[in-house]
Amino acid sequence: MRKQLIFAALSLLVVSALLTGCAQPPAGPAEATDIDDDLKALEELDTDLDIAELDSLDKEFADLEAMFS
Amino acid sequence: MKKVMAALMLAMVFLGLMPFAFARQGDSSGTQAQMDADSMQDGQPEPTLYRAGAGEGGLMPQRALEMERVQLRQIAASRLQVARQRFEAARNRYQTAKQNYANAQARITQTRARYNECKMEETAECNQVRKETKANARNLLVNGADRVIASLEKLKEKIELSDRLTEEEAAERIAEIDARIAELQEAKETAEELGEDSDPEDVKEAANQIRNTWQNTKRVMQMNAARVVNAKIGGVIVKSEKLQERLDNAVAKLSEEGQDTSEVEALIDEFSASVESAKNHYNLAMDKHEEARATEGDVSGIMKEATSHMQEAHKGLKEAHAVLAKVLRQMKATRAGQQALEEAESEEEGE
Repeated sequence: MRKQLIFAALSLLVVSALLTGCAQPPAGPAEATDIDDDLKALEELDTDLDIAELDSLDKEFADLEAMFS
Repeated sequence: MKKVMAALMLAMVFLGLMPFAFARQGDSSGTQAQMDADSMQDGQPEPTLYRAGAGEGGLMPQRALEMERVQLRQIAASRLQVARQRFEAARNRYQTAKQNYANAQARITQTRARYNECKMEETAECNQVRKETKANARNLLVNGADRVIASLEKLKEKIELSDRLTEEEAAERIAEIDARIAELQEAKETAEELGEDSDPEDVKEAANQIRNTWQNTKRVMQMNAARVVNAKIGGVIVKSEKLQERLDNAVAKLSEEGQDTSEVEALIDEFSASVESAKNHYNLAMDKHEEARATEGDVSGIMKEATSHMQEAHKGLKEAHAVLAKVLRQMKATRAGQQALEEAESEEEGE
């Protein structure tokens, strides 16, 4: 049983150390992480604002207008 | 003994998760603190006092200010939260309107040919086709207007969320968008009054009103969306330049200590060239943006050029960021490099 306890305690240390390592912010100063986040946000901004999607409205409204002329 | 083992296992899980919580917290608070410090440095007056084109020796022109500071205004966390919630709500409204619009459009496409054939026929079937088509036209127009309104609302919240716009500029742009929303609401109300028995001429009028309103709105939408993107790009450029200063300082320290810095210096030059290229395109995009604002009528051509410069600026920043990762990897590979980076950071904070 003592062996099991020692094993569990060691596992605890190893897992904790591993997770601490994984949880560190990406290497480099805070700005580097900031820039990374900003660049990702920029990628999303275009889709978020769906300007391109609305481009076809012009023609579609005009077609409807013509249909009822 | 089983209980002891279970307790140990639980402790293991909790201890394992704790670093995540601290890492996230440390990350965000550190970043914000840095940005706040940058924003309010030198005890300068509130950024809202600065206006574009302000005279020499007086207030700093807005573009120069934008290249100086990471943040142009501070937005309270509660305000940010409300804007994010409103953005999500507008996003959902947009999706619903888009789906309803697509359904109405599909039905109109199905009956379009029959509707045209029925123009000269007075059968019961044709009357039904006419009624259905008018009802679908109503739905298409109402949901078309709703799509644009929801999209404008999303844009408004993006402006509200941008700390790269001064309070004054954000308010000005939001008011501009609100005016368009009011106009679209009015056009939408006209469309809502349509029904199965409406005169075809009324349907045509409502479609015309919405189309004209949309054409006027498109310009406002294009320019403001471009401004939000460009403002963000400007922020990344400022952060990159500040970072470059720090890297230069760190390399200078290593060089003083007699370390070979030729490789890392070459990478920093590469980083700097990409940031510089991004900055040039950013400025060209801003020129086009100002040109569009001063132009009456259709600005699609100008905005297309502005977008192309913004894409180039974005590309330059992505390239710079890829090089930055290599620089940091190299510097952190040695204890001296790691230490030089930390010293450069703490010296900067101390200034």
